[in-house]
Amino acid sequence: MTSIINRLFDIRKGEWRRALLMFAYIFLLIASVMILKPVRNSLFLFHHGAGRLPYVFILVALFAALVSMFGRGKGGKWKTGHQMHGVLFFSIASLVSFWFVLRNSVEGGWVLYLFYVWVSIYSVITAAQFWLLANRMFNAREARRVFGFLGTGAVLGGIFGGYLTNMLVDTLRTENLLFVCMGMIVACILILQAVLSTHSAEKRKDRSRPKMTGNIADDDNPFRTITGSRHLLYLAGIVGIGVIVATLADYQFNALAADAIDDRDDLTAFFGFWLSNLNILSLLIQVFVTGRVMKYLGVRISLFFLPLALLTGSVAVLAAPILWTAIMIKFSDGAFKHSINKSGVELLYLPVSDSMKKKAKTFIDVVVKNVATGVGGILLILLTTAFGLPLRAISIISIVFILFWLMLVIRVKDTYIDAFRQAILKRTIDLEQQSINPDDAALTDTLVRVLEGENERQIIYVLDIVKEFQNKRFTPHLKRLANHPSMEVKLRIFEMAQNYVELDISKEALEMVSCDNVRVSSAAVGYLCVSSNAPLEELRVWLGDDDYKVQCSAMITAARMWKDDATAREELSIGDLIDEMMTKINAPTTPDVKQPFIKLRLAELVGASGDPRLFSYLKDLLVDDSADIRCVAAKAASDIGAMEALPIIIEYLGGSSTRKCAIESLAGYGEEILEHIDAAIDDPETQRKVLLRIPRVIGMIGAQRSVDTLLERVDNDEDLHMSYEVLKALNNLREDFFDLKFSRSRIEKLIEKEIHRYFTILDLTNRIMDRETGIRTLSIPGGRSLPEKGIRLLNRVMEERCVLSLKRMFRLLGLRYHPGDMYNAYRGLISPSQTLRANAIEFMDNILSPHLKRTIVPIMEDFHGTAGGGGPTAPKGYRKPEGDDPLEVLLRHGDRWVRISVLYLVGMSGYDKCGPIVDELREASDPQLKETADWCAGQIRAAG
Amino acid sequence: MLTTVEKVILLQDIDLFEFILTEGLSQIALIADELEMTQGQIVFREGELPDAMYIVIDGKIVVTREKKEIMTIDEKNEFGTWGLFDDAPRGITATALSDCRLLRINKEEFIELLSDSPHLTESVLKRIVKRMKKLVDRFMT
Repeated sequence: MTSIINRLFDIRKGEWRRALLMFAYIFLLIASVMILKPVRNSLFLFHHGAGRLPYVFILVALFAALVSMFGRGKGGKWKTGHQMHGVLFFSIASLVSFWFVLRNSVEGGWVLYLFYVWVSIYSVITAAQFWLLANRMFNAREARRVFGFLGTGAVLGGIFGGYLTNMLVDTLRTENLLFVCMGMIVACILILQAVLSTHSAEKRKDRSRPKMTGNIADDDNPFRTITGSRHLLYLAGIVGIGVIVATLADYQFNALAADAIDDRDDLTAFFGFWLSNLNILSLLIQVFVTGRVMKYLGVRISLFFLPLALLTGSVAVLAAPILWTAIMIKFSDGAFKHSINKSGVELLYLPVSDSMKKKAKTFIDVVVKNVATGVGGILLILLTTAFGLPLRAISIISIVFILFWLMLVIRVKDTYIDAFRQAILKRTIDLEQQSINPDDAALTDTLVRVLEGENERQIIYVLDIVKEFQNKRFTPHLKRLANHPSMEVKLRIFEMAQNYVELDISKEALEMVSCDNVRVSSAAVGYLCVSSNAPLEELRVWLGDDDYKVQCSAMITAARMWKDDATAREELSIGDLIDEMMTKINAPTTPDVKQPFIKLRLAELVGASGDPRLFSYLKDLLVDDSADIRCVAAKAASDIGAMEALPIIIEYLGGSSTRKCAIESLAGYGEEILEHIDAAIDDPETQRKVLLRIPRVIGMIGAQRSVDTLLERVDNDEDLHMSYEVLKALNNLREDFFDLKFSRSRIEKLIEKEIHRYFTILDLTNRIMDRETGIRTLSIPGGRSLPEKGIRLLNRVMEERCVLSLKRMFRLLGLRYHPGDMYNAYRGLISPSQTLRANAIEFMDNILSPHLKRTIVPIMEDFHGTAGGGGPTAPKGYRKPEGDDPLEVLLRHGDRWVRISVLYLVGMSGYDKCGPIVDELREASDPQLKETADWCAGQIRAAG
Repeated sequence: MLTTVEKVILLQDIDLFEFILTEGLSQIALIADELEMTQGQIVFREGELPDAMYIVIDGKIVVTREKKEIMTIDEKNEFGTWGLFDDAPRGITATALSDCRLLRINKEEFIELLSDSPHLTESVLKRIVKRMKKLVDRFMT
């Protein structure tokens, strides 16, 4: 039995208990509803007739709104479990009361209206609570599989309840059927108890499970919660329109059936026969189709089934309003509503935070559904009674609603993925992502508040944003910030002030001219010059200052002016300024303490001038003893585009104190240096630690040639470390420079290759050792066993290679999809939280193209430990590595570190079959590989 | 003399290196020197400034504080680990209890290696954080 269920629904180890309990719960719940509804309908129709039905529909909607308000006011504060218990106990009490009143023949009055409304509310609330609990019991991945099984429980419950009513009604009489319902509800209470205790145990197992966050602020008002989220709004729209269309379809079915069948008993038999068949069809779809649709087509496609079926039915009724088309439209609704569509709609709630889900789901299931029923009722009264339109006209209205419904289904996929993305990201909105409109009062208010605050980082961030705008509201704040204790803030203010007409900070600038921070001092001098009537005269005053630090700052300002202003170029001689500095550096009277300062300023001055002819002044500075001076000189060389400095700066990549500035300086050269640094990769003289930093430099140069250069380097089986650095650089390019093109087919080929690499690693590992049991599966001829130490190392190395391969896969996917999304999905996958891991897989399942999804999602599930057993299935076209001996295969085709680990294992076991390859590896250029091969050969000889 | 991979075998069981990939351990192996000590030879003294950490390849080391024995360290175990990060004088003396071979990781070279490799730094920090969490948990309970 379990194997059949497994085949149909793919329920996995650890899910069975929860799934079976929930199945039993929904089975009994729906069975009770299916007993109550016929009792309600027969009593109401018998005493009040069908003509009163539209009014009771509206009454149901009103009561639903009241119940929802209560739910928010009181019930909203209770936990789901308590709420469910409360509702079930209240239901038993209500049923006892109804039975008592109905038995004492108070029939035909207000009690039947109340009973009708009560049954409607009971069926909606209990089912809504069940699915709410199910959402909490199962994570996104589990839900995708288990919800189909639970849906089957609901449909089976419906069939069982219907048949039970037919069987028992003659024996027990209508009102006594309420006792059968009470028995079922008591069973539900007991099951609920077991469900909740199972859930508590699961939660304890996963204590790290954080609450998911949605993409909108949490709000107490469910209406605001829904209208505040596009995703929930679309979801509510889908549910609401679905109910309106179903109400219209139901009316068409009833009316056409009543038209075609005159006899009341025949009509009852007709309803009974077709409704039972409908439940069976629904069950068949639930069992055989829903799970597969969810697994292979996903949420979005599943939501198309019901509206498209109803569209077909409506068109059929529009073309020929006869009994068979009525049956067709009823079948369209009944077959998919409680199966595929129900599972799809429930999955839409998954990325919503727990607290929001609780409010929104109850509101949608109770208020939206019932209001929609009320709207359907009003529409019917208007169309049939007020306007006297025929049934065909109802089909036209249905078709209009269905088209709108389909539009919402198309849109909800994006919001679904977005909501998952937000749930994974868990980050606040980035100011930088907003397009800044300086006239936007609300935005200006926000920025001003930050400028008024004390957070230095935020202030700097806002200053960087507003530096282009001249808004009067910022002026007093900028003036005040000129006295801010942070030099970074001051620097930005003095730089901004040079272009900010209304900002007068001369007093503050004068105070900062002689400060120790040359960037600030130079910016202050610059501001004083620019704001003066005669900038060059002002500059000369500062150049002649007694303080050598002020002089240096003024020289840098002069170089900038010289670079940007043609008049300054005519009036100033940059060569003279540099000579003056050189004289100062070389003067025996200049104290040693001043020399580094002047050297740094000299480098800055050359950089500020932007003139490549001044490179000769940097030569000595680039090889200075001080790393600080070397760095500033490298930056200056980059600023003036001096290609002569390239070999030295590339070498800086190997030094920890110069690496950062070397990367920035090299990237500052731009596209022109790509050829040179690419050549450095091929140069055997290039140190490895330099080599590994080169991709990062290329990744900062936003040119198409950078992408092409890196793509040429990414496929490197010999050096996975280097290849990974190349991938990181490509990801940076993709993220930072949107206009660059990444060949989709090329990337997909690389992804495919990486997937094959992953399976090769798994294959070879399994041939050496069972991944799950840890038992050695490889035996060596001659009765020798593989040594523990060696096998442990190799196993660890192979595991690391699996993780690295997965990481590379995500990096490659980051070139095909949004790199930030892929990064976050990867982080989610390796997270200790089960929920985050499941969300990551669900997210990828929705975002990947079908052919990638087929292979990558099972790999993720295998990594996640939720694969169905036996590990993931290899993709089409995958060829197992050739060769009988996995150790030989690894020695021939593994990367350097895998080879070293295998050599160690071979050496420890004295396995002479690998001797010839070991001898080949003794000639390797990699010193570690050669060293281990030598050692291994010695061990084999000793063992032989 | 141990090969790089043999050093890796030793390093993979050291607590501080728990989260470092084996290939990363080979980088540490390259800066780890083999040291031979004779019985009674002092590895470092109480009050000396730390400049390395040690792993026992074979033999035994006795650790004392104010001449009182605190513990003995045998094969595959490390000592003086926090000397890699702490500039405070050693609080213990380590002496060879028998002839022994040690693996010595120089502090300066190790820090240089960390500054070269963000992955190594991240892994070492992860391990330190794990240790701190454990201490906090123990303190809280």
